[in-house]
Amino acid sequence: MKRRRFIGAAALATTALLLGTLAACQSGDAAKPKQSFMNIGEFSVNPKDGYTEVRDGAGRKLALIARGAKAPDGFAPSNVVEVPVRRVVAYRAFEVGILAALGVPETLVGVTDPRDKWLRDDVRRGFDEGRIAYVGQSSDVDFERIKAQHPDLVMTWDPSIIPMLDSIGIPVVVTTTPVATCLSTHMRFVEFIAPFFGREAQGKAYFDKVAAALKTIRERTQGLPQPQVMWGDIYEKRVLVEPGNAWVAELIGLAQSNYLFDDVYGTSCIEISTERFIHSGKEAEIYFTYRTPARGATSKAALARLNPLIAQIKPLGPEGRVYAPLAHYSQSSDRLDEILVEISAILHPQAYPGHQLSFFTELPNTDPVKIAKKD
Amino acid sequence: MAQSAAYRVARMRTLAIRLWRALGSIRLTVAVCFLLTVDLGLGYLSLRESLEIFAPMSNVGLIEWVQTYGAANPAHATWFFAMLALLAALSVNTLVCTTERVVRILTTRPAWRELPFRLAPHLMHYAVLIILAGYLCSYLFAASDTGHALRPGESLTLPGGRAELHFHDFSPELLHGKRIDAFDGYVIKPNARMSVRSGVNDYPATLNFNAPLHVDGYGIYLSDFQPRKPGRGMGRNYISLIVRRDPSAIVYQLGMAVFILGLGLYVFGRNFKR
Repeated sequence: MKRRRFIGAAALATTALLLGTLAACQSGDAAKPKQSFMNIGEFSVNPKDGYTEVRDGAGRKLALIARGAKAPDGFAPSNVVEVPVRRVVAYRAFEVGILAALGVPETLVGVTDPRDKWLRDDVRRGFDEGRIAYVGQSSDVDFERIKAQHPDLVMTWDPSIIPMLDSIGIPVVVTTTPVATCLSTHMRFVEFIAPFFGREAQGKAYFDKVAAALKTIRERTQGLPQPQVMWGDIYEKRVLVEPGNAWVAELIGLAQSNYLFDDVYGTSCIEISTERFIHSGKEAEIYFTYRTPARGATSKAALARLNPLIAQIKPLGPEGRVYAPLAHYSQSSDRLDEILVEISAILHPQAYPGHQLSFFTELPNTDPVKIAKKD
Repeated sequence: MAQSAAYRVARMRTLAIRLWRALGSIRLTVAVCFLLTVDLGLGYLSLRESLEIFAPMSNVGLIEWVQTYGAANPAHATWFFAMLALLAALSVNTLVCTTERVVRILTTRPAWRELPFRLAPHLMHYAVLIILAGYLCSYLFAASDTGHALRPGESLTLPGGRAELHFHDFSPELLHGKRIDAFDGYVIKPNARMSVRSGVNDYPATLNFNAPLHVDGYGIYLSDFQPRKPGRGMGRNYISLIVRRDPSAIVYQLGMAVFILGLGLYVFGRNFKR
């Protein structure tokens, strides 16, 4: 008995000693937990003396300094960003929406889609005023065009442009991560971008608005029967889906639904086998396609014509439901709260009577018959 | 008075011996292993929800991680702190237990030819401790720099400016197999062709996943590349590198060497003795 107590005491003492050692490692001012440190998935924002250190999606450290302030030691010139940023080039429509959410749409000076692809009034107006330029498609941007726009910052998903932009002295922040962002990161991404523009308060307000929408979704869908859902598409020789760690998958789970690719982990639009897609598709009740109506998703029959294999999945049958995103869906990240509510309304229409779809459209079984006009 | 001092010394000695035996006790081993199993089970569940909190640890180092990600996410990091404490307890337990056995063997004065074989299992225990200490040092002292992208024809100068890497192009090895139809024709081994200039030396090298280059005290690791399939990757052609300086790597490499030596003596020693 004595021996047991002794062993117990010794184990406790060892644990206390080690915890103490760990705490000692953190002694001193620098060791105090920094309450203001914030990680948003793999992104982070860490206020330090005289500057803010941020960590982007590629794991690079950037220093945000006040305009005209001295750059901190240990950062290459191209990893130092003077804030607030006044001119920015954005690769993704998602970031363009975030700029609007932060109230700084006028800082946008370059995008990777031409004017006719944009449905946002602020971007079209920017083109018309000559402030915004098309800098080439995202996979092959025109560096001369970017340079001519004199941006303070380029927000990109493509790390391969970093050496070239380093050489012309334009800081780059990588805004995507190797794995798909979860729902929390997707909602809080605005808080990563906000310090670049000195708009932390607006970022927090936006996040609070989206979090409130999510709370309402949870309450409204509690206890409802769980539909089987899939999100992806079959292309020529490729099958791409949203993995279980993606924000849409987490949202579907939170909204009392069963996501059929919950076991798939990895990057957004991850490739899986055709067999797996068809297998899960035979259980599915609701199917979200990546294709917009402009890219051929006009009806279930039209999808089946694009790829006959997809006709085997249950949602393409007369009882199933198929939804396609509308063109402005990907450009509306400043309305993320409305998008979350709309997805929830699609999953549980009984909880949202009278809801009018505005970001998605439900595909009919067949395309409407075009009646030829009589002369 | 003298008797009282002698008594105190004897008492202290008895306590020290008891503490030593308790620290090396097999019961403590069982208890710590049980707690470690429970803790790692909780860690598995936590990692499923919050892998992104732990991913930066290898880049920022343990101390900075504790001060930032760990402190900001105590609910998800508690199991990790407990794991550190339990691993340390297991290390102390192993050290005491093994040392006690080694001392016992040495005091029996075995024949010198038999000695290495009798010590072999204990050598493996010591090796595990060296490996654990090496990894701890690595997480404490290593410096890692991520996100260095290079396109064909571009160069990267390593910190200090004494060495430079130049990326030429890929010589990819493709997967050819109909068993995984979706991945047929994908790059299975990129074989990034590099040239390295280190001081006066200039030599070619090939970089792959899990096949880093070691240049001027730095480890150069491939973290990403495009295209994953010839003709794909949206026209992009690049490698992404992690540059890592880990002076304590030698510690766990030494531990691995000692483990292999111990294992060899243990496996082949029996035949030798016969």
